[in-house]
Amino acid sequence: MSVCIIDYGSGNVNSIKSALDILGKKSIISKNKKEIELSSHLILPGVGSFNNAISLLKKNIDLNFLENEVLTKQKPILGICVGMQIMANKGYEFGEHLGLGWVPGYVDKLDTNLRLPHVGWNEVKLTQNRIVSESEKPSYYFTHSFEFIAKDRDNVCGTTSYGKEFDVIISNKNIYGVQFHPEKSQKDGLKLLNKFLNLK
Amino acid sequence: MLKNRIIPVILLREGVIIQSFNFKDYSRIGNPINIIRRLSKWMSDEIIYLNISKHDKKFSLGRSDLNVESSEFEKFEEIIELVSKHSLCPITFGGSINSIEKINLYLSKGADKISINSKAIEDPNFISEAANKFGSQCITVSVDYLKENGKNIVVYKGIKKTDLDLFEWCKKCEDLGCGEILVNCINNDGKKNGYDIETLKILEKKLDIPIIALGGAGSEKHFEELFNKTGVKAAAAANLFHHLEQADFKIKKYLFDRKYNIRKPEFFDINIIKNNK
Repeated sequence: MSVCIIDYGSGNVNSIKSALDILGKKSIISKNKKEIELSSHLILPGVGSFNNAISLLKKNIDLNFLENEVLTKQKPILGICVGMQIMANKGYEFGEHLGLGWVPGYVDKLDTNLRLPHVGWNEVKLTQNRIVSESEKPSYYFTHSFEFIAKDRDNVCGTTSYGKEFDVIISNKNIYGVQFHPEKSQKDGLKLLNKFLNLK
Repeated sequence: MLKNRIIPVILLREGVIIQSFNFKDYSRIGNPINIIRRLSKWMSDEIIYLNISKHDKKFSLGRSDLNVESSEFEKFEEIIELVSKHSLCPITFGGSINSIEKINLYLSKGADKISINSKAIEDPNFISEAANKFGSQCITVSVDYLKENGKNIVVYKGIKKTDLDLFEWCKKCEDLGCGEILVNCINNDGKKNGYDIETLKILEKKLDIPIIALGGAGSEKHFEELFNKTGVKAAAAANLFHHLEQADFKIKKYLFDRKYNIRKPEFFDINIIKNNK
């Protein structure tokens, strides 16, 4: 097992590395093709806006190469926060933008009457146990104003309630995405990362 | 449901943790690394580090007997880097943030959020500039205010009264795009007599973004009072976390036992996670 945290200029890559270090899992931060190719697991971070993240990804990473790793070789990949959001077909933050389209759905402003950003610790209701093994209700740290709206319920593994129930853990075959920050979510976050890294 | 947050605030002056009273008297507490290890172990919800040093020169962690990598720092960002490595919860850094470059640097060293104070007063557009570049979720505006003759006056650099009204200023910060507001009542600083409930109640109705209350927490009951009497969902405190043993755990347990919407208080054991396949 070897992990590559994809370093495309968005997201706090060092926090993810620190969390993996604490778990005792070796990881590298890189955008180098060879290193991505040699890794068994990939993590796609991301903060800021949808458009900013997808533009930076296109600028720094050869998408054909990445899609070959993810869609053809089917390497497990975990998108975090905006890294998860850009896996959708489209995003509507500062205009309409095309995403990677790896998990059918779109990203739009979180439709809630409560305060935004949605920031802090919230419980996740698990609908499928693909990436979190516990039956207990885990809590994770969120900080975002946009939500992933999955097209197919089969791609949703977990939801959270904030004025409404919305999708926060998504998966499509080897592709996983979480709206929250597992690297900043202590026990429950580390458990999730550990489970992801144990996926074959 | 979103949990209420309990947030320890660490005040650093020339690299050493200090305790503050009325923004005037400071006493030295100790080394920040040990505190972060402790807070992380206790499963803190989030931590805020405020650098209130008078100058930007040398930072010393004060004690070299605590098994830290180094105890002399040239720059504040070196402390950020070290602190980030030891933490598993979100960390906000603030203090003398006056440029986009500095925010970029602090984020690259591991900060999750940035707190802006004086620069926002000098140049309010800096808030929108920062929020546009890094996202609203990344930018907290920190506001110090003084209660005087029925008014809530915004205070600049902890000492100078401005002509800004607290409510109007906070609303403006929200409109300019900040993601959270940290409000600190100077009158209550270090007094341990509870939060400024009256003001927070009004502020909460005026803002649509999350509010973090600071100033006055001296016991578990003050957190309870805040969550009971206001809609504020984030309670910060500084001095309390240095003087009450296992403060974070005890406060959470007190609230959790009374059915408040708080994360379950527990200690952190890495081995349980590692063995959990």
